[in-house]
Amino acid sequence: MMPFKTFEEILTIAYKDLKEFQRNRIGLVFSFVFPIMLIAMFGYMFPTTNVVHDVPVGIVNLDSGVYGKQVFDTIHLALSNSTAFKLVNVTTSDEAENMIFAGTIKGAVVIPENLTESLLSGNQAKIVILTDPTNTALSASITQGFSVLIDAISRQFASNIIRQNIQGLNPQFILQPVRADTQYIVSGGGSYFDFVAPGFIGMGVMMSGLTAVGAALAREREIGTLDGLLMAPISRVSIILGKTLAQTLRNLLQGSLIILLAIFVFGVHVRGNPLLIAAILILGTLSFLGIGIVATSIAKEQESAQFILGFLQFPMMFLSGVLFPVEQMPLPLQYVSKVLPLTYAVDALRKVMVLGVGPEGVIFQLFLLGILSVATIVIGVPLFDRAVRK
Amino acid sequence: MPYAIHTEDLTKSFGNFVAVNGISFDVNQSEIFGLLGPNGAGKTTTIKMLCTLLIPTRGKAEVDGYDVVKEADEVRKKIGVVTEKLIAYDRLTPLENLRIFGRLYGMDSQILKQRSEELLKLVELWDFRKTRVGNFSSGMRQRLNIVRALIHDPEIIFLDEPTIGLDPTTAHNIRELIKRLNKESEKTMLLTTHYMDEADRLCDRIGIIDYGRIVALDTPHNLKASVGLDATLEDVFIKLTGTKIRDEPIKNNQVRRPRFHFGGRF
Repeated sequence: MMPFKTFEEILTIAYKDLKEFQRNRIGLVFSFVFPIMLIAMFGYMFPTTNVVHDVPVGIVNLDSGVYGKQVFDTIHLALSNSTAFKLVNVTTSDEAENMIFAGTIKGAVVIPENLTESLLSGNQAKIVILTDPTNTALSASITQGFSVLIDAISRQFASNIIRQNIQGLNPQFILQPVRADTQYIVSGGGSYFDFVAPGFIGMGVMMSGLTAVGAALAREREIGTLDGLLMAPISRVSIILGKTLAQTLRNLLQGSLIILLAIFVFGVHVRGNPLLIAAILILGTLSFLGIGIVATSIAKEQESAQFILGFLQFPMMFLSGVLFPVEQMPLPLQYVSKVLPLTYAVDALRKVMVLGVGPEGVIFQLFLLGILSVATIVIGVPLFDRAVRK
Repeated sequence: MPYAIHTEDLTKSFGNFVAVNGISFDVNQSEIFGLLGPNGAGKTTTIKMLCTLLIPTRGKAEVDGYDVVKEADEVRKKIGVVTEKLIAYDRLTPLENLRIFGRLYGMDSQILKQRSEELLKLVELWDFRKTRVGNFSSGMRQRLNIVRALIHDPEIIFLDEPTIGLDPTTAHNIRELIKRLNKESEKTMLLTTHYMDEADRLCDRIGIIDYGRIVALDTPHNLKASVGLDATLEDVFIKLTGTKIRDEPIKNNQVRRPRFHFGGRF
C-alpha cells in the first residue's frame, strides 16, 4: 500500500511537469504536429486506394481480322471508365517502343497481326504487353492490370468456343471447375495500411517513452531544479513516478490524437474497445519509460545512454512487426523479436484495433507489459538514486 | 543542544581527485558561518554533502544532530539551500513555484499561501507573483531563490554565493535580509562568498578552505588580528592561500560532477 504522502508527492511532481508542458507553446504545438506528420506520412505512403493514376498506355492493333478488332474494342471499353490507365492508339509496335523510351507512354499492349488467324486455325494466340522494366513498380502495375484484362478476354473466347462445341454444359465448369473464394473474417479490412497503422501508432506513442524520463531529468539537472527536488524530503520513487505519470498522460493524449486522425482522415478501421486500446498504450508506455530509466541510470554519461537506447530502438523499429509480420522474418530474427517489448505491444494493438479482440485475447501481452513496467521501475528507482548521489 | 552542523574528517573524492580532504568543523546554533576559499577549494562540494546531494567518501557530517547519509530525510526537512543556480521553473510563476516546493515539504496549503505572501512581500516580489520566472532579472531571480529556500521555514540555511553577480543595491538588500533572518528568527546560516567585505560584515566565524582542507577557522576579528594591525580579511585570505590564480581546470570540473547524465531526445 502506497503511503498517502508518497501519493501526494507523485501528484505534485506530475502536476508540475504537466503545467510546465502546458506552458511550453512550441512543445505543445509539436506534440500535436508530430502525430499528424507521422500518420500523414504513413497514410500517404501506404494509400488505401490504387496508386496508379491516369497512366498512359499505348494500344497497337496489327491484326486486320475480326478478333483483333474485337479485342481492341473490348480493351477500350473495359478501360473507358478506368482512372488507372489512359489508352493511346498507336499504329506500330516500333512506334510504341519509341514512345515508351521517350516517356510519352509507360507501356503498350500489342495485338499481333496473326491473332485472328491463330484463333481460327485452333492455335493459342498471344497478346504482347510492352513495359519499361526499369520502372519496377509501374511495370508491375501495367503487367498485372493488362494480364487480368487479357485473361478475362481469353475466358470469354473460351466460353464461346465451349458453348459452340458442347451443348448443355456450363463453360465455367470446364474453364475453372474449382474456384478460390476468399472471405475476410472482418469486413472491409485487408489493406496494408490497416496492418501498419496499429504498429505505427504503438511505435509513435511508446518509443518516445524510452528517452522521455531521462531527457526530462537531464533538463532539470541542466537548469538546476533537480537539486531542488533532491533536497526536498521526498522519496526518489516520487520523483520518478511523478515524471512517469506526467509522461504517460502526455503519451496517452498523443496516442488518442493519432488514432482519431487515422480513423477520420485516413479511414483506418478501428474495431476494438477504446478502453482496452488505452490500457495497452499505458502499459506499453510504462514499460518503455521503465527501460529508459534503467538505461539512463546505468549509463555513466549521456553518450552511453544514447548508445544503449539506440541499440534498443533500431531493432525494435524493424523487428517488432511494425512494418511486416514477424512470421515473414528469418527464424533467428523471429527469436530476437520475441524479446522486444514493442512486439507484444504492437501485436496486442493490432489484435484489438483490427480484429476487435476483447481483453481475453490480449491478456498475455498485457500481463507481459505489466510485469516489465513494474520490474523496470522497481529496478530503476534505486539505480537512479545511486546515480544522483554518487 | 547539538551543533547546527558537525563534521568529522569529512572527505569527498571523485576518482583520483580529492575535492574535500578530511575537514572537521562545527557550526553553532544561530550562528552565521562563512566558508571562504579560492575556486575549486571544495566549498560547494562541502555544502553538497551537507545538503544530502553527495555521499561523503569518508568521515561523517551531521546537520541538527541528524546524519546526512543515514538520516537524509530528516536533514532535508531542516535545511533550506540557496544555490548558485536558481531553483525554480521558468515557465511557472513565483506563486506556482512556491506552491509546488511547499507541497513537497508537506506544508499545509493555508500556511503555504500565507508564507508565500509574507516572503514575496519581504523581498518585494509580490507585485510579480503572477509573472513567469523566465522573465525575471538576475536580482529578482536570486531573491526568489532565497524565498524558495525559506518557504518551509528551515532551521539551517545554506547560502552558496548568494550575492554573486548582483548590483550593489540588490546585494545590499540580500545581506540585510540574511542579517535580519539571523537576528529575528535565529536561523543558523552557512555561507560561501568571494566577497571578503561581505564575509567580514555578516559572519560570526569564518573557515578558510584551500585544497580541500580548512587552513584557518576563527572570528573575522581574530583572523585579521593574526595577520597584523589594520589587516583586512583580504590580507588574511591572500596570506593563507597565496596570490596564485586558481583557474579550475575543465577536467576537474567534469570529475567534480556526479555521475549522472541523461541522453537527449532522439
